[in-house]
Amino acid sequence: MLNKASIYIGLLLLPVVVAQAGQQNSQIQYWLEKMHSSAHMLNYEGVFVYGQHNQLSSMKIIHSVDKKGERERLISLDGDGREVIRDNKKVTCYLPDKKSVLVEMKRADSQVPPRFPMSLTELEQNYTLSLAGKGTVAGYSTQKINIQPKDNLRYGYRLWIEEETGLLLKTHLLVNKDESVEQFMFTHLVFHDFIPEKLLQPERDGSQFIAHEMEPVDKADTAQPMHKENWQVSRSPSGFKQDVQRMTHLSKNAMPVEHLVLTDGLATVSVFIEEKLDSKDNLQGGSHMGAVHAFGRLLDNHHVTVVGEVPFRTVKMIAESVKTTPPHD
Amino acid sequence: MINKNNERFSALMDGELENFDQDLEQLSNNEELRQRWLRYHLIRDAVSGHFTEAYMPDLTSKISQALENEPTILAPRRFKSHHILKQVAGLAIAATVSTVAIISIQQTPEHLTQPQSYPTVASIPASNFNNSNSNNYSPVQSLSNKAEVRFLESKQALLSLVGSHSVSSSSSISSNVSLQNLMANQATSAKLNSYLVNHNEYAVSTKMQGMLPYMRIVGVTPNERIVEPPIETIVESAETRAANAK
Repeated sequence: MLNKASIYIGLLLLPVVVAQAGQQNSQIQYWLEKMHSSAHMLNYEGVFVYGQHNQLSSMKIIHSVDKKGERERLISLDGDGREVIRDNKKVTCYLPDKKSVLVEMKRADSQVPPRFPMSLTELEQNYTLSLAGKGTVAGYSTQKINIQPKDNLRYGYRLWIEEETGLLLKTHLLVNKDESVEQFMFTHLVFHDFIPEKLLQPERDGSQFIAHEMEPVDKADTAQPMHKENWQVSRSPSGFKQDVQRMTHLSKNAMPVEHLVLTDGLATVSVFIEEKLDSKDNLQGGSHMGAVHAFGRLLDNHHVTVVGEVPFRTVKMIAESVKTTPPHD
Repeated sequence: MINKNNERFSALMDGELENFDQDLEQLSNNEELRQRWLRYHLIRDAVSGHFTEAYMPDLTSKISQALENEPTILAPRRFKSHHILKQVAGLAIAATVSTVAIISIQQTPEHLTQPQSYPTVASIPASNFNNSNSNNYSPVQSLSNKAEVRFLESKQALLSLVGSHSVSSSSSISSNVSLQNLMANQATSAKLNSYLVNHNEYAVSTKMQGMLPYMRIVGVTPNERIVEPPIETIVESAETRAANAK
């Protein structure tokens, strides 16, 4: 009798539970979309700490949107004076410790509206998403969202999203459920109506540095010469789909590089394929830059390098699965 | 007699001994004494900076040659909890080795300015050594061989040494293969930066977070971007930890 009663009660409550889950989903969708748009629409100036593998560094970020478009500047506060400035046309990295300036031109197609946020239904095939209460970061009230991967081929995320503006104020990248591999957190943040021009100019004169600048690739150029090869990633974690395929020039390379982008909607992996010249600067094996892992290998007189904010085993798996198929004519 | 009397041995070395015919005879007949004689002169020359090119076989190029000829060990290295300890030990070795190398590097300009000083062995009357002329250089060589062994024993230490010192003294190690490796590493990390920028521009995280992903370029010290085989061991050790916890 008791069992029957509980089944009836359970049946009665089922729609409520489903409705609540639906409500939670629409809230998560709302927060992710808000975070996404606010990242490009706010004027602010802030200081944050960035930690990875037991190492902390602090940085200043300035973000501006005005009639000149979106411009951002990221400055190291730890002494080596590294700095990255990004605008609609290019990304400039000032690396005083290496006496070099790295300039990468942005191509027109990088302005294409991003596919994200893709539908939660797609994300939920590989992640479990949940609202995780409120918290305060840098004096601002935030909504916490937990995103757990369903396998160990991608990171988990904890996001703290500022309630009013939607700006992302804190993240943890996680492996093995709650082991943090990388984190970032604002310690100080001010929103402005506009950002003075002076704050968007580089601190140092890069003229004595070695400039690694590349010419933008003309549209006409992009069809040749490597499309004779048809590169394929034959193995990647479930849910990873090809987002972009493009030809690019690296600032340091004479030869064009084929760039494939795979994403599951949260994590992104880039596959770079270039003809192997005699250069010794290609990565062989693994490397990491914070939570970003890279793996390089030789393949049929080409060099394949896979870079992505995923665990090492994932970049390795993808790199080892790259193969070429005969072109269709 | 010099085989019993160290002072007499030194006096002979310094040319302060009279009536030394018997001593010389001893020296020429006793292999052990002769080796000592050569060793002492070598030490003295080293200390007083009188090395000549004859004594300084190009150590660095020999080492790098040996390194190059050494077979690459492809088996993955597994160090787990002792990883940090080993790194510390490696640093300590690196510190020792770098001291040695700095001395030899500083010698270089000096012997260039004093090419005429060609001491010791040549100044010993050849008649006393005529039965072993061809062996004259053997102590020198065995010494440098030992040095090579020591260097090779700490191949990693040498590599880190090259990383920390050779840039400023590249003229004396310009032929060094290890230096080329270093340059290659720098080139690799520069290229990785380039890849990372390209990746960021197309990554979902950039679309969500603006330029925050660039904190990996701004905030990571350059050393960490070198090719790093132990990454897999980090991942593995995390796995083992998780497995042990269960």
